[in-house]
Formats: sequence, C-alpha cells, structure tokens
Amino acid sequence: MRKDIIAVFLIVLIVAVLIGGTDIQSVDEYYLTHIDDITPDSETVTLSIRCDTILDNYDDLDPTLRSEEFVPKDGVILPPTEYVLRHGDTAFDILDRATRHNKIQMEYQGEDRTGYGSVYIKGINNLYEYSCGPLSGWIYRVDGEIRNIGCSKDTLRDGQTVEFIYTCDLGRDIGNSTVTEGSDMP
Amino acid sequence: MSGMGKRSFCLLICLIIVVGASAFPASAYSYDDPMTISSGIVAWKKATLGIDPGDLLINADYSELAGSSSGDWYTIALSRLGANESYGTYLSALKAFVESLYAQPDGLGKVKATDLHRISLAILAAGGDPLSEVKNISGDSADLIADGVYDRGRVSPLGQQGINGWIWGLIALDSMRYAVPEGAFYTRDDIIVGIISRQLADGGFALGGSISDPDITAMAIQALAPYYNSEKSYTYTSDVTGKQITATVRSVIDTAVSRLSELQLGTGDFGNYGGGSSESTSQALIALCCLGIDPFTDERFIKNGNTVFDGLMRYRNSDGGFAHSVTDIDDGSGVRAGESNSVSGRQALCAMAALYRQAEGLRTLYDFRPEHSRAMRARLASLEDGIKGIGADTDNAELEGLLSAFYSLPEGERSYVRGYAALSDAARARGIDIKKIEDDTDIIEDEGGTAGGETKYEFTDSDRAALNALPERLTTAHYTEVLILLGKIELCDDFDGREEYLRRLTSAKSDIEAIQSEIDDINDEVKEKLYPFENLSLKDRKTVNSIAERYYALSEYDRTKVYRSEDILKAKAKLDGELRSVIVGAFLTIAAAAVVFFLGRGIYMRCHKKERELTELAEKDVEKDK
Amino acid sequence: MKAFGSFHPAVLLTYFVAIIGIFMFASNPVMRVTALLGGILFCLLLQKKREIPGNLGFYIPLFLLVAVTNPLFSHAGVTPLFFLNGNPVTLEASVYGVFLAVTVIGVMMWCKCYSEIMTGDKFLYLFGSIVPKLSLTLSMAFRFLPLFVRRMKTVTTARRGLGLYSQRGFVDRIKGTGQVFLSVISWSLENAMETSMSMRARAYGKAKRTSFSLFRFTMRDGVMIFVTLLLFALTVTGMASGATDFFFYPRIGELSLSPLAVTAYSSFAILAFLPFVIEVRGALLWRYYISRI
Repeated sequence: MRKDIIAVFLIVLIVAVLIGGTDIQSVDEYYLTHIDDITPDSETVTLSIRCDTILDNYDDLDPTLRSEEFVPKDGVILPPTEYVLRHGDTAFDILDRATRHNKIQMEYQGEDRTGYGSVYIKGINNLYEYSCGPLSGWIYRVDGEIRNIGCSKDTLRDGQTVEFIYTCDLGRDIGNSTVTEGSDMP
Repeated sequence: MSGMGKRSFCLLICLIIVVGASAFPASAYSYDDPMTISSGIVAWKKATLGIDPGDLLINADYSELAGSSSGDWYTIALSRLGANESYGTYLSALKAFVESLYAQPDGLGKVKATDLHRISLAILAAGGDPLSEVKNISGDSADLIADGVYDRGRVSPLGQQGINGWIWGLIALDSMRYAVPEGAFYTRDDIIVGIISRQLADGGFALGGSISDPDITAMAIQALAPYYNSEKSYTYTSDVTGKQITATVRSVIDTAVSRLSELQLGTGDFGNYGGGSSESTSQALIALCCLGIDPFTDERFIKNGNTVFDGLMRYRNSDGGFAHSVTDIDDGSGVRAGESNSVSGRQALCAMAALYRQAEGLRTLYDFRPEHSRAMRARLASLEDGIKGIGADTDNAELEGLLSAFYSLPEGERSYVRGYAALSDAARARGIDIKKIEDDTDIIEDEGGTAGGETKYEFTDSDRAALNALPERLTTAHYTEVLILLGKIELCDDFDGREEYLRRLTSAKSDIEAIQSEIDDINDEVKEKLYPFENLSLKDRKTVNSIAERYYALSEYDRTKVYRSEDILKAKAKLDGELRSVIVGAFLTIAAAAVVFFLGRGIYMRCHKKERELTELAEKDVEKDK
Repeated sequence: MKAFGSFHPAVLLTYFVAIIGIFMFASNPVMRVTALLGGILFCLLLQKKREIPGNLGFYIPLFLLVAVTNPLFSHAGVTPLFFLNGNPVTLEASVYGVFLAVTVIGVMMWCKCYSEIMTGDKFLYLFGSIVPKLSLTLSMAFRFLPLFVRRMKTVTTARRGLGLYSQRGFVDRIKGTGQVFLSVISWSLENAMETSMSMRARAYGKAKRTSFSLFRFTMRDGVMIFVTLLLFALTVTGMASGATDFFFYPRIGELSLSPLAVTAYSSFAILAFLPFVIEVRGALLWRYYISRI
C-alpha cells in the first residue's frame, strides 16, 4: 500500500513535468538562446527605423525605389521595438540585430574602411545614401538628439531610445542643423 | 675710439638681428618643409596601425584597406610625394577589390560614383591603369573612367550624390586628361557645366543650401583648375537662380577664388560654423596649388600675416598627426579637439604632396601624366617670362607672339602657363583676335617623352620563402599575400620552377576564393534562413545543422568572417534543445505509463487474490475428483 | 532484545524529545545526516529481518522522490546546473532537496523508533498521574483505531462466510463497505457505552486510584538521563551560539568547523548513536550470557 502512494506520487510528478514542459538546456545553451529575452531585470533600449522624410520629397526619390516595399506608406520601417542591451552594445549592434531579426536589408561600410573608426550605414531597406537627393542618407538620434559620433562607437545605456532616420537634407528636415556636411574627400 | 666704434657697431647689428628675428617671424621658414611634415604624418599613421617605424606603411596588412577612403588617400598622397612604398602590393589588392565590386549582383549600381573616382586615382597612384587594370565579371578589361565618369549616367546620374559626383568625376577624368569618346553619356562639357552651374550667388560652392562651404569651393576649384586658361565660354542655366548664364571657367574660378579668400579666417585657416578645421584648410591649400597660386606670397590668402600653410600648421600635433579642430566644437561628433585623426591626416598629407609638387615644379596633385620634359619646361618658362614682361608699352606683335607660343603648346599643357589671364586680358584690351591665333597656330608636340619601359620583376628568395611558408590549409587571411605573390610572378621572366609556383599560387588563389564564396554563402544563408528565431522549428533542423556544419568546417580565422556567428550556435542550440525536449518527453511518458501499468496491476492482483486462490482451489478439487 | 526499551519511560521520553527536538531545529547537514544514520541503525535493530527489504523498497524511492521534487519546483540559488523550461535547476535547490529528503526520512525513522519503544503503557504511566482524564482518553483513542480496523475485518469476514461478498462492480463494493462501516460504528458506540457503564459500576472516579507499574527508576536510568541531558545541553549551546548555522540559499554556505561547532556535532552524534550502541551492547551481552548457559 505504501508503495502505491509512492507510485502515485511519481506519476503526479512526471505528469507535472510533462505539463510544465521537458525543455532541458545546459546553462551555456540557455544563455545563448535567451540572451535577447526581455526579463524584468534586463537592460533594454528601444529602436525604431523611419523614412518619413522621403514622403515629403518623393520627387527626389530614385524612381526604382518608388514602391511601398521600400518606402512604407507611414514611413515606418521598424516601429519602436524594445531590444535587450548586451554589455557594451553600440547603436550599430542594436541596429544590426534588429535588421537581421526582422529581415530588413542593411548595408554598411566596415570600421576600418571609413577612416573614422566607425562603421557607416550605407543603406537600410534598400534606401541608400543619396537615394533621395544629394543631401540624403541615414542619421540616428539617441533620446531625440542627433548624434554625429559613429554609430558603432556610440555605446548605449539602459532605457535609451535609438531612432535611425532617413534624412533628405542633412538632418535639417529632422530639426537639426549641426550635422557636419559630408564635404570631405570621398 | 675706432675699436670702440667697431664694437658698438657689432652690438647694433646683433641687436638688429635679435629684434628683427622676434619682430618679424619669417612665417614660411619657421616651419618644417612639406617632406618633413609628411614623414611626421606617416610616422603617426604607422604608430596608430602598430607598424614598426622602419617598415613600409603600405604593406600587405595595409592593403586590406584597398578601395576604401581610409586606405586609398594615403596611397595617393604618398605616391604623389614620391615615397618608396610597396605600391604593387596595394595595386593587387585594389584590383581584387574592384573586381569584387564588378561581381556584385547589381554591378556598380550601389557603389558610389565618387568611390570609383577615388579608386581610379588610387590605381594610377599605385602604378596601374584604370582603363585596363581590372577585369569585369565577364573577364574583359573594365574601364573605370567610363564606368565611373562619362558613362556613369547609364547606371545612375553622376550628380546623384550632389556636386561631389561632378567634381570628383572631372578630377578623375583629367587625371590623365582622358578623352571622352563619341557617344558617351556625358561629354566633358556636361561635367564642367555640372559644376559651374551650381555656383552660388556669393561665388562659392556647397553641397546644399545657399552658403558656400570652403571644402566644396576648394574642391570645385581643384576640378576646374585645368580649364583656367581655356577661352571657351559656356552657356548654361544656373542651378541656383535658374537664369541663363554665359561664362568662361576662368571667370567662375576667379569669383570662387575671391570667395575662398573671404572665407579664410584671421588665423589663416578655413572652416565651417565659425570654427576652423584642418580638412577645410588642407583642401584650400590643394586648390591654390592646383591653380599655381603660391600660398606663401599671394596677398589674397594672407590674413593678419598668416598664410594658409600657417593656418594648417595650427592643427599639427607633436605626434606628427593632424587634428580636426583646435577648439572644441560641440557638434556631437565626439572628436576631441586636438586629437590626431585619420581623416585630417590623410587630407593634410595630400596638401603636403600638392605643396611639394608645386615647389619642385612637378605636375599638380591630381595630374598623373608623365612629368614635363626639359624642353617643355623651357617653353613654359620662357612663355611665363614673356607674360611677366607685359606692360603698357608692349606692342601687339609681341602679344601675338606670346599668344601663338601659348597656342603652340599641346592643349593639355596650357593649364601650366601661369599668368595667362594677364596675357589674355591685355590682348583683349588691344582687340586682338585670340580665337584666330588659336586656329592659326600649329601645336608643337613635346618630343621628350619620359615614359619608361615595362617594369620587370625578379622573384627573390624572400618571395620564395613567403610562398613556401603558405600553410597547407589556407584561410582568407592569406589572400592578399597570395595575390601579391601572384602579381610578382606574373611580372617575372621565365625561371626554373616558375610554372610550378604559378600553378601553386593560382590554385591557392582559387582555393581562397572558394573559401570566401563559402563564407559569403554562409552569411547569406544565415541572414535568409535563421531569422526570426521564434519561427525556427524542428523542420528547420536540417538547414540549421548544415549551416552549423559548414561553419565548423571553416578554419578558425575564417569563422571570424562569418557575421553574427553566435546566431548560428544559437539556432542550433535552440533546435537541439527542442529535439531533446521531445525525446525526454517521450521517455517520461513511457515511464509514467509503465508506473501506471504496474500500479494498476498491483492493485488488481491484490483485489483478486482471494478469487484466484479460490479458482485454484476449485481446479485442484476438480483434479482430485478425477 | 530491546535493551534500550528497558530504560525508565521518563528517560526514554527525555531522550526522544531531545533528539527529535534538535533534529527539527538544527538545519545543519552534518547533524541531520548523523541523526538519519543513527535512526536507520536503530530502526534496523528494532525491526524484524524479513521486513527490511520491503522497507528499503519504500524508503529509498521516497528519498529520491523528495530529493528530486524540490529542485524541480524551487528555482532559488545562484548556481544553475541546467535549465528546465527556461527555469534554472540550481545546485542549491538540488542539495537542499537531498537535505529535505534526509530530514523527511530521518523524522520517519525516529517516529518509527518512538512508536516501537514508547508503547502505550509507558505513555500512560508517565502521564496517567498528571492528567488522568486526558491520558485515559488518549489511551482509549489509541486503542480505538486498531480496534475499529480489526472489527471491520471481523465483520467483512463474517459477511463473506455468509456469502455476502461482492467483488464485482464498484458500486456493489461501496455498498458492501458502507454496510460494514455502519454496523461497526454502531458496534463501537454500543461498546463505548458498555465500557462506561462497566467503569461506573466499578466506582471509577469515586476516589483516588492506585496504579501498578513495572517501571522503576534505577541508578542506570539516572546515569542515562544525565548523559542525555548533558549531550543535549552541549548541542543546544553550539546551536544557540550560531556555530552550527548553515544556509543553502542563495549560495551554499560554508560548514563551520569551529571548536564549538565540532563539539555540537560530536555530542549530537553520540546522542544519535546512543540507542544503537546500547542495543548492540545488550545483544552482545545476551549472546555472552547464552553462551555461558
């Protein structure tokens, strides 16, 4: 009789585990696969990618890009999304992760090839620099402030908001005029 | 007394010397010459790259930067300074890079036009030929000048990126005074008009807006400089005012130069937003040198006794490098004032090259044609002397003589005649028909060519050692090295074992290219198949495993070339975990079923024990009865 | 054969209160494990040899189950061993699970020993004079349950004899059991009334009663109670001073090896193994005496 109790106990336990799930992972695997999970105590940043300035300058846009595929109707390529901030993450790391995870096309020039020691975002969602006039390209803001420091040198902090915005006028159309003009030698 | 007098005289002289030295610092000579400054920049650059001061800057490692602005400009400037560097190495890497651009699915469409222009200059600087150096995807020679400049419009407008595209297009086109063939998308005049039609009301140029920018103004002058002595006038519609304008390039440059002079700051330098920057100053210095203006003496570019050169020297640091700014400009760029940086350094190096070439009487910075022959120099010098002598008493015949001497020069050399504007003005004032003289004068070609024969290379022991040191298992890290060795061996005359070496190198090259394409393929696969993670299921296990297997098949070095490789591991771990979960679940279900079975059986057995015993008893009774 | 059981009930009660009390309050792995070992050894001697395999088959799975359950449901601790459905299964929780199992089995062992040694008459002897009513009620209650079961069996057997067994059908069985239950209840109530009447007839509660017992407090008991109290005091001192404190969460603490702690461990160990030693000594003496006959 006593053994029956143990058997029942064992059955209850197994059923509880089966209902709860049998997903067993080693510690390394767990941290590898859950690194981007948002938990109450994980540090996060919010990223969005927009190109609404193009909507106001549609005539300047490269004709091959005049499609909703590249320029969404509301100009939002990625709505504000929360991403886990890993230690030492820069704005570029977040952008790279977000574009990969959301399958958004992105092309950049590597750190060693630009001379500024930072990567240069050439294009997102097939919208490249100069795709919409000679003063167009990608810039980014952190907490609403346009940053001129290279995005792969800009280490983020918990709770910051990062926006990658397409500008058609060197940032002036986003309400900023201190962007250094791209008037260096090519 | 006389002794006394002598002594006080000496004292006086000494005083004068001392006072004079402190009161009038001879600005041009209190600084180092361009060569010394250049060596300083190179030393700084070597230090930042961790290259030994005694070694060459442009080596195999550096050549990995080929095709980027951070790599190309140093090569261009050093080559124009005549520095001894391993240009062949750089050229091999550059060639491979451009070929990879051509091999892109949409060709050169996504490549900036100005990148192609810079690369053309870099190829020339490294001793190659932009018309034939690289092969396109079908294996034919690709013409970078055509694809980058006069036929660029077939892919995207040259002005797509603004005035920059026109300016650098013209600089690339004039680097060897390339002719634009019949039927090209743009004529040379189209490109010139592309620049001059964007001249602002104040005489300068800018990327956007109506305020002229010193950098762009200076670069526009650099591009237009070869046409300064041309009498051709252009009629075009201004891009700024929309009005029809007829002007010569000279008048455009003149207004631009006076605008540039206005833009100069009191300290001799140039800059935006009130603060000076070394880049703007470097560009202005290059512009003056391109026009043949002496920056040390031209009054228009000396402010408060400070020349452009003085202005540039403000940014020079003790480490040899150049800073972006001397005052803190809060432009959010995070570049600290006074810190040497690569962009400032490369532009200052170009400025030094321009200055050096002007001082040595060499061709301008962006004119890569063979240097003038001695005869040509003499012709230019005598013409300039004649022009200098022009005064009110000069008679028409003498002016006509000078003009015909000018027009007897080959067209491409006329830009080197300083002061032609004065001659032209004087002739015009006297009513001399310049056009007629131009038409009537036969061009006397320069007979003394300086073109050398084709360079031959000897395959040295160190090359052999380098080749033999290549490991059995090659990685993409060896690519540049293999390319360089291959480039060398192709230049060599036949020698014992050349065939074998050639075969080995060619196969090494194709091996590495295979690895590279495998890496690219994995990168594409990862991008294509692994995201978003949430959607990965056991169905994708095969794909993920094959990607992971291919990833692990790469050498350790090559694995670092796979972007976000942790995502491969992540996807694999996720799916492995899911499979394990299913197995464990099945196992536990079986175990639970077994326990339930034994439990049930146990209870059943207990409950029916009596009954069974009775049945057994009954059976025994039956047997007994029998 | 119960050498330990031959001690005076007061000594035995003191001993069990001491050992179970410390066992409950000392959350120290060394002490729990020694207590468990002492309990197991003592139990082994008290049990019939043929019962041992069956008991092992019960206690070992129970031990494992208890040990496994804790880490599955408690995720506290800082050292994850692996992850189950995204929850860490920690080293701390696993060790604590084993600790918990040791505790559960240990308590069961000692309770088993207690019930073997402290029989009803000893309990009644101890408390009969202090709280007569309560002890009477208790002893009746203690007797009632086994009696009830025995009567159930009697009635069932009688029904079987009458051919009233219904092994087929669940409902039938419930019905049958219900009938048996009701009859046994009425039997028991009737019996209780008879008992009370019988007791009244014998003038229970009219005057103070004398009672007879076999127990006598000897010198041996005095020594035993002294030793027990001494060891108890030593252990409690160690515990009160905090030397034996031990923590599992969030990180497994270090086992204190200070003199005070070691004293506490060793005195508790002596206390825990005391019954076993006494039993073994008794058994050896018995053999010796037999051999002399």
